[in-house]
Amino acid sequence: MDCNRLHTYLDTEPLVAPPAEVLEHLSQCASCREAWALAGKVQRILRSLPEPYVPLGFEERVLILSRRASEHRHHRVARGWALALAATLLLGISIGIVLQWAAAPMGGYQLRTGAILVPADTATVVRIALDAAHPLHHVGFTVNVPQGMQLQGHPGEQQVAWSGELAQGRNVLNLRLVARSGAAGTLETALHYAGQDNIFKVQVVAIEDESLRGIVRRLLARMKLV
Amino acid sequence: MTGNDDRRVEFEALVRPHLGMLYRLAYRFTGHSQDAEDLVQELMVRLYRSPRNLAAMPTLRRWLVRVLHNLFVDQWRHRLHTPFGHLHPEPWDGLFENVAGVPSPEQEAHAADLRRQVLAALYNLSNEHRALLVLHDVEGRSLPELTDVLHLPLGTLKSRLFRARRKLRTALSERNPSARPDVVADEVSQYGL
Repeated sequence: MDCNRLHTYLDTEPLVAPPAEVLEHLSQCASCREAWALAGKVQRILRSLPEPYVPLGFEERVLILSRRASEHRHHRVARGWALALAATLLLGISIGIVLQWAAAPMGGYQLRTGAILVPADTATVVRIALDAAHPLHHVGFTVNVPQGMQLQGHPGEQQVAWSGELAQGRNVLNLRLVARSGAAGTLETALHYAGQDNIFKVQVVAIEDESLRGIVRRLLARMKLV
Repeated sequence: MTGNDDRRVEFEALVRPHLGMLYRLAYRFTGHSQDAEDLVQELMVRLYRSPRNLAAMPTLRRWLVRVLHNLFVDQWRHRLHTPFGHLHPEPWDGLFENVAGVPSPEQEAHAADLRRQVLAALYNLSNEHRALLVLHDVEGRSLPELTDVLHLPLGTLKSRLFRARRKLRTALSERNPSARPDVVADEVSQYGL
């Protein structure tokens, strides 16, 4: 066994119960031990990734939109933000803002009160679209979360801030929001760039899942989607 | 109810039980919830437009995995999504639970950093390589099983897996030119080295 064969072994075999020749080589080669250690950790990380969560209403949404798209052959298939807009229409949980200093809802439908509804005690993705005319570097982001709500992965934090970049064109920020039943308040997203701030606010109300399902059903019926 | 309605109802009854599975797989392929929805929707649109006799398929679930994989590998293009690091929620959460023992804060930080790097490297691979790593290394499907699911020869899958792992490992090695000595020791001590 030499280093090349060891690396081939790493890229083709599960790293359990290695044969004696592999163990012997590892005992003599520090760089291969490092490679082995890294490969083992990578395999365990990949194997331990959690099961993705299926969003609320996904099955109904995808069947309804697919049916409608297939019925209108000359229409473009609703994809990307067309789908996001449809999701907005159905659930009222997507919002959009336009960078370039014109913060405004981007065609997204919100409830007449201006609020968006999310199911209580369930992680709900609130999507924020950022359209950038040019690539932007060193953009500061700050999300202020209302009392009774939190971003998944950030328990107890009412403010989450970080810096990053925006690519040219559409950028999508997914905020996975978890809210207690009855919690209500303003979800505030602030962008800081080149000494300027741009803040977008939206009211969020958390209600019981069953109540939300009822609202969605009524909305669908009104829109003649069901 | 018209004949078209009947076919639609039958079609939806057949595919509905598999939509959750398709979404989860699509999410792992694309790394993004909206892209996953788009991918499954596109698959459903195609199936609506080209009705097959799904009811006669003995292994519908397996067939759906294959057509989703083929759609992703052959025709899917990346959307312009900025990877918002820690706010891209799903893959990052709950991973500490899988670390054996009680890690120190420093070990936790290192492990979390490595996980981010692994995921970033995974989502920088080509669709073809990422899809195979997802099916094989994430979902734990064996290569013989995948030859059946994907209708690809075993040799093709082996060489593809080799290249995918090599690229992933190369990308990570470039970011980790020297693994930490204590991590190496942990990793190899189980073999008495």
